[in-house]
Amino acid sequence: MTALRASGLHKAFGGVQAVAGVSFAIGRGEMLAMIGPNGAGKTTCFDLVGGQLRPDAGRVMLDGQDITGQPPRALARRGVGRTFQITAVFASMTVRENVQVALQAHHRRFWRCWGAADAGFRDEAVALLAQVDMQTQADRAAGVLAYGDLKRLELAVALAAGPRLLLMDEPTAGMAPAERTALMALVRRLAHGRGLAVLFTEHDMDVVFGVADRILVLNRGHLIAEGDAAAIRADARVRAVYLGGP
Amino acid sequence: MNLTRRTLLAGSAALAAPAIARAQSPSGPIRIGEINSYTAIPAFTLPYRNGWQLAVEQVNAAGGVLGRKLEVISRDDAGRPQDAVRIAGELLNEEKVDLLAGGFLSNVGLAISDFALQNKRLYVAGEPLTDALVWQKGHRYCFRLRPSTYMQAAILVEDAAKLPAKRWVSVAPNYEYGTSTVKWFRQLLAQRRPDVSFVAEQLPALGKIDAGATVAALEAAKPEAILNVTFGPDLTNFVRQGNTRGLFEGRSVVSVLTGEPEYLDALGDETPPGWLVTGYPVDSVRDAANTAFIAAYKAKFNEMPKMGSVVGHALISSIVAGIIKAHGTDTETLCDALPGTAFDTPFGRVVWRAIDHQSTLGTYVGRTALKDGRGTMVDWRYVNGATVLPGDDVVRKLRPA
Amino acid sequence: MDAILIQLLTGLAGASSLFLVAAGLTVIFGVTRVVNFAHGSLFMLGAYIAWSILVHLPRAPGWHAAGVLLAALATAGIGALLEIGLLRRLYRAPELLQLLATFGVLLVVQDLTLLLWGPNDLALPRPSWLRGSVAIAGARFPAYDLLLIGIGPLVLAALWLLFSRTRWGTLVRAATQDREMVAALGVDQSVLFTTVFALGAGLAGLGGALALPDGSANLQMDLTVITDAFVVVVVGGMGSLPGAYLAALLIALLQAFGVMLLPNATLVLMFVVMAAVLAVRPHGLLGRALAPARGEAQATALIRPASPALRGLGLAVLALAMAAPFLAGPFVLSVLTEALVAMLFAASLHAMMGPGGMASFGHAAWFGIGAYAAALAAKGLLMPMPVGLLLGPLLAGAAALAFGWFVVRLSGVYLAMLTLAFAQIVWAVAFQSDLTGGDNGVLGIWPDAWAQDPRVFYALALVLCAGGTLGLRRVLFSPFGYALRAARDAPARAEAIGLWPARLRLAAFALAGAAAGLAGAVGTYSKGSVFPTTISISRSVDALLMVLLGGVQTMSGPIVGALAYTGLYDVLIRATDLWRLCLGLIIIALVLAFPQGIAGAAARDRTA
Repeated sequence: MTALRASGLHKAFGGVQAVAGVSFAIGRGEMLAMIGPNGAGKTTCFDLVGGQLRPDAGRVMLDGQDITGQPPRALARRGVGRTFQITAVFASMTVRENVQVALQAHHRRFWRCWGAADAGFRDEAVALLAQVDMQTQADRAAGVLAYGDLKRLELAVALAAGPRLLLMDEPTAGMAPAERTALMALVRRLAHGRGLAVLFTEHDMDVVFGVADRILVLNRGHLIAEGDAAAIRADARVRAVYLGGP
Repeated sequence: MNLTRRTLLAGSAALAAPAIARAQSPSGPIRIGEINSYTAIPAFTLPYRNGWQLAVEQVNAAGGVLGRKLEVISRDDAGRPQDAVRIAGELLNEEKVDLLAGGFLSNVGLAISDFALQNKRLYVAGEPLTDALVWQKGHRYCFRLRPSTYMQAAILVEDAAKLPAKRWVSVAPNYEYGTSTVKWFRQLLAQRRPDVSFVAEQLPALGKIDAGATVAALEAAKPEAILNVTFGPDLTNFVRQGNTRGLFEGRSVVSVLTGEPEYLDALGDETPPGWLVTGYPVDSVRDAANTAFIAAYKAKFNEMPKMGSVVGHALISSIVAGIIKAHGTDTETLCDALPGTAFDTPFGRVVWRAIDHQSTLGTYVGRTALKDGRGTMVDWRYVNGATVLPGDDVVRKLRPA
Repeated sequence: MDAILIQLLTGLAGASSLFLVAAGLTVIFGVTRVVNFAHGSLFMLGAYIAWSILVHLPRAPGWHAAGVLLAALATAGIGALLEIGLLRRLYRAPELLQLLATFGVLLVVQDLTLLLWGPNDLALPRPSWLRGSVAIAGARFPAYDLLLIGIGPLVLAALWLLFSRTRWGTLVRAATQDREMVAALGVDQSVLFTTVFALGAGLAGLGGALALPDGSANLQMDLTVITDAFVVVVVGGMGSLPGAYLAALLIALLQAFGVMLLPNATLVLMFVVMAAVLAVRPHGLLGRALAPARGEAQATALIRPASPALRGLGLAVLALAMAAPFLAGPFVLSVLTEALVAMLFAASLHAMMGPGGMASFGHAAWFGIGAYAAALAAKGLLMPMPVGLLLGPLLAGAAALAFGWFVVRLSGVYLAMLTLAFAQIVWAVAFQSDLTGGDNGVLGIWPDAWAQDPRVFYALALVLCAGGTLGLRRVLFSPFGYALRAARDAPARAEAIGLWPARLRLAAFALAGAAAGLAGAVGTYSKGSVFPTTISISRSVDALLMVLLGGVQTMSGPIVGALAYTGLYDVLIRATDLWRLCLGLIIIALVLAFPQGIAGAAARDRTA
């Protein structure tokens, strides 16, 4: 079943057409990778789907409902989670508190001005951390984590809202190769286990071809290819874009 | 002030230390708690401090008051009324002073005055000019020495009314002193000269005059006479722009306080001649009281006194006269004794008025002139404050019972 | 028509003066990110030094120019010393800490200038060439003003050449973008920063020296100039020199024509312009969004609930505070009451500045609205004290909510300056309105009979202020507090988990306003009167100092900072005439010893 359908997305900055008529869909439990050279429009596409940007034209439908142009906080409520290319965690809190805040946000508790916040959703937070194998670091300051741990914490925070769709912008950037594979394998397990749709961008082709169920290739704002790993590997236009050529 | 003693006191009076009980013995010194804006307005308050220090020295050299030594405990209010209230509490409760005195800024004076009323203690204000201090907000426990805003305006109106000018403009700092001086001046002038009109008004922010624009705006109104209420750095800027742009040429200028050495000295050789001003012609007064004061002041501080020095000196004299008349420092007795009490100042004999607790200290009015590249006052005369204050019926209406 | 031409030229001359004041500040901020509160002091020193030099020189134009340049060089030297001796040690400290350090410098310079040059205004006698005028449109226009009209753009052009055509300028611009990259290229950053600071200081000194012929060197210059300089820099866009000139032009022209049309508006015109510009352009006329300067230690400290030891200490202090009425006399109680008011005031600023990430230069606005609300309830409506104590926080909170709507969209120094603009507008209303009694204030607001005993009122203040402070603390540890902190730590991430950062910030802003309003109301009843000075810039600065002194990144920082600052201030002001010098030196020493604030340092020791 289709979780997300984007159709005819357009976005221009000044005179530059960053995304020009991109359409795609993701099914439940599907890992969809979006690749392309620098400046292909991947991050813009992400921001259009994630609500950070509003498309000039086109529609984004989540489970059949129009979510075009809704702000990220509204999408979060509808079950869209997201991780960022530049890691952003709440540095003044512990690892567990990061997840607790996300849980409180998900349960719409954040206007509560009374009662200690670090007492709420403790067990749920630890359980989520256990899913990403971070439970032993629950009481450490998030600001001092190693890079790979930060990425896993971000994932736990995104999962706290129980998303139906997870957007991951360069989830493994800056990680060691072994860590990358481990993290994406984890994501894949979660996606398949929970029926979670995952859209991710990635530079590392080994990761992409290793975990993605399906791959989209963007170039200069256009979708130039779509298919499974084998099809993409064989696509002439993709080879031309990546390897250069006629 | 003795710095080490104050330092020790402050140390002992620091937060947690309980109040040191200081028994008020009739043979101990008489203690005046004095508050002023020493760091915020040093140009006026430092000569003022010299003035009262000289007076205290003279009083004690002559055997003190009622056989007791006179002591002044002085504090800086940093120009903030809220600090002044705290310090007033400290002076009363910790230093066990017999009365409060001082103040330069009007809001500081009003804050101390209100505190004095609440605590039923005497406050003798030296310099704050606002009329409210003795009129709208006047009360039994507050007395004020210096000629008020109203009096400054009234003194000048006398001569201003004789000017042929009909088209007037005014420039005044944008706060109570400036606006109320202009208000009184216009009101009193209109009474004598129904034919004059004010065609423009400038209200630069205090200390921030945009002198060029202000002068040009006044010039554009084509006035025949100008009322100036700016003082200090604003006045210097205003005069320099006015001189260069020729604003004052062929026009009468009436200017409040400009003849006081505090403000006149800074004008130097740019002092515009012929302005009608209130002030203190310290270099040309020749009467006995002034001469003796100036000589004693010069001997002690090696400089000429300023207006503030006179106020500081007279402040002590006015308090001493009250204490002698009351035979002591009991607040209620003092407040009964002060009204009607006369005392000597460098400007002559002055009386505390019973009706509003304003002293009759006056000021000099005259014209500015240039002498040896410095500003000075000529053709001056002393105007007794008693002669310019409004009638008793007017005061009664202004002052709450 | 002629009058308009003359005002236009006058405005152009004023623009040059404003630009000269602001140029140094914007240069320093653009590169070093130091919010230099001592900029006005450097301007003042420039004027005094120029006076001392010029009175000894022949008065011909050439000699005068040489004297002015010499004064600028001397001020640049002072700036270099300041950078090497003080600011260099603070680049890795939390944001705005340099503000605290430079405020210490401002205090020190005030007293040193008084000691060195005396209390009297020093007006430099003008030789005839400085008094000359040119006939324009039938009026006499000062020749010196014509000179100034040219000097402003000339300095702008010279700076532009310096920054774009020299190797030094290229490096400085690179350092503005990315400090780490410049360091990686092997450039000695400290030399770069020292020279930039010296240049900025020299420009301030030049401004002071050039202002001398129009008036005098006086002790009020520093504070007069500093707000003007900040407004111009912010309106122009921080770090942008052409922006600063454009802003100076806009403000000076509005002022020149404003005095003709609205002579009453002199107090607020500049701040209204700033508020309007920032409402439309959140980064000033020509400013750009500032990427956080890389290499700057944006260390976000971990916030933890109080440890048992700290809790014990807090309880002990609270117990001592509750015992105070039985131990201390009325004066000590009044000082303690004042400290309590300061504590709540500082805690309210900290709530929005620390966890909320919104520093404010105008926090006194809410304190003042609370104070006036209580005063007017008592004097105007003849209400008993509890009504005033309730109205204070309510009105302040409501006003903060209304203003906050504009404010929370901004960030950093722009946000802080917009709060300053609002505070100045509130101040001007209090200052000029008959309702509030103008600068003579509202008098006679003493506690109801049952609370007039200093011990009773102290107990009341303790309940309200300590209660308010602890209440704020509780809120900051509640889900709302965490959500607020989340929005500060990582706004995009916060938004992605369903939080609404702008709304959270707005709520925090209103809450901080209400708490400050309560402090103001209590303060009014303790003093018996309220004046526009409660809304003044210096009152806002007090709050900032207390928070920074205690440490922004700790929850107990504002409490420690408020008690330390009020205690120090009270002791020093009674102990010595040189209290500004002493306070300034102590602040500088504390900043150098505890860059994380006093409480921050204690917390660090605990965790280490």
